[in-house]
Amino acid sequence: MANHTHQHFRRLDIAREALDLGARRSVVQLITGISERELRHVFGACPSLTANCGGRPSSVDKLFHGRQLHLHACDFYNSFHHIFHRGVAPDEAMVVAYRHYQRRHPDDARLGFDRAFSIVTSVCRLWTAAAPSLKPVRCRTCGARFLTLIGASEHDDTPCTYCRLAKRLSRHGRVPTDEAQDQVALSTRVRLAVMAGTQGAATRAASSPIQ
Amino acid sequence: MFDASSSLRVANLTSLMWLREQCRAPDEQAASLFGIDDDTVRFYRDLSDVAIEALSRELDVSLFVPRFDNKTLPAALDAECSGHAQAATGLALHNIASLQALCDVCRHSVAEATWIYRINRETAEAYAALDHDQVVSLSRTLTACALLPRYDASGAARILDRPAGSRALFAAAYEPDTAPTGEAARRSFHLAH
Repeated sequence: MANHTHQHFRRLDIAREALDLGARRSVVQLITGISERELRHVFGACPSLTANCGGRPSSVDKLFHGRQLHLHACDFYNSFHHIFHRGVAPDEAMVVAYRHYQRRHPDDARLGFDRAFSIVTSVCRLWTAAAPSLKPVRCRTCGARFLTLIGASEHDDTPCTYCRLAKRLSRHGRVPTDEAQDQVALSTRVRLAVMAGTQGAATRAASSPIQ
Repeated sequence: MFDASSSLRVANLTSLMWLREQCRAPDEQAASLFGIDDDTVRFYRDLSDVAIEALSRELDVSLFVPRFDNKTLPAALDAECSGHAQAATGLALHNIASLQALCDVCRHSVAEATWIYRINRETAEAYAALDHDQVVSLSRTLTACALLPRYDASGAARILDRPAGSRALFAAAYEPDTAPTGEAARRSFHLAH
């Protein structure tokens, strides 16, 4: 009885987090197994329960229309994959992986929670009876894990989404300048000296050469 | 640009500085302390402040992972009870700080801990169950580091080679698979891709 109650409160907690992250009601219901009536009873004032009444995103093809969206899908899935395969329950893995994804892209998260949910259901037989349409594979060049369509060849030598990103970023010269790196190094030394608690050490750190 | 949470960032920063200090020490004990090969010792010995700051600032994972998992932790605790070895003060303090941070994350959220420390759920639960006295006594008697570097020389270099601002994304993609255990293995059977 106590365990059942604990599980129920755990599911309510997951539902709260999912709603906070922008999940629509139908997705929260699927993930947690909590009924619509109870969701409305407990989280009545939550805007996510009344907004997003349409169908949830399910198209896999859309993920391959833009490089950015595909990259974001792979990035979210990588977190989910590891958390889930390390033994965490799928509902909790979903919420934690999405939170990590959002933190990694604070200004430009392209995936909503519902889209992230559809990615998981497209890869694993979770919360759905449909056959998977996506599979995670390792790039044979860089070793990164990325998502591809189920029918795609294992021996495809096309650069993966991470290889293309690395190439694009290096072409656009996003590596920090030496001056910026010097400032970073300086700030590290000063901060560590301050953490050690000596102002004299901080002054010495600021004036000593950078490695 | 992604910024790691401040407590994780400080823990990574101080631990990396300590690792570099040990790799530069004349007694050459870093390899046995951290269970790393000579290439990795050389890599961390030569790691610049800029690289340390970049890894600590950008990655949303701990740069050090536990030496013991749920299967080996009980034996380590038993050895600690019966053993007479005494760790050097610096090492003991470092281990206390690292283990306490690990236990705190595990108690806060097992799911977060599995991602941050590259451990399975059972290991996270084992660390969450450790009390402070066990952490202290384990740290006092352990003659090696309780947490080991997450990346060897090639793994760390591969991430550092990526442009600033994108390293967390690449680190997540390069993260190696861990062998599924217990519940995860059973589920994988049913959810095989």
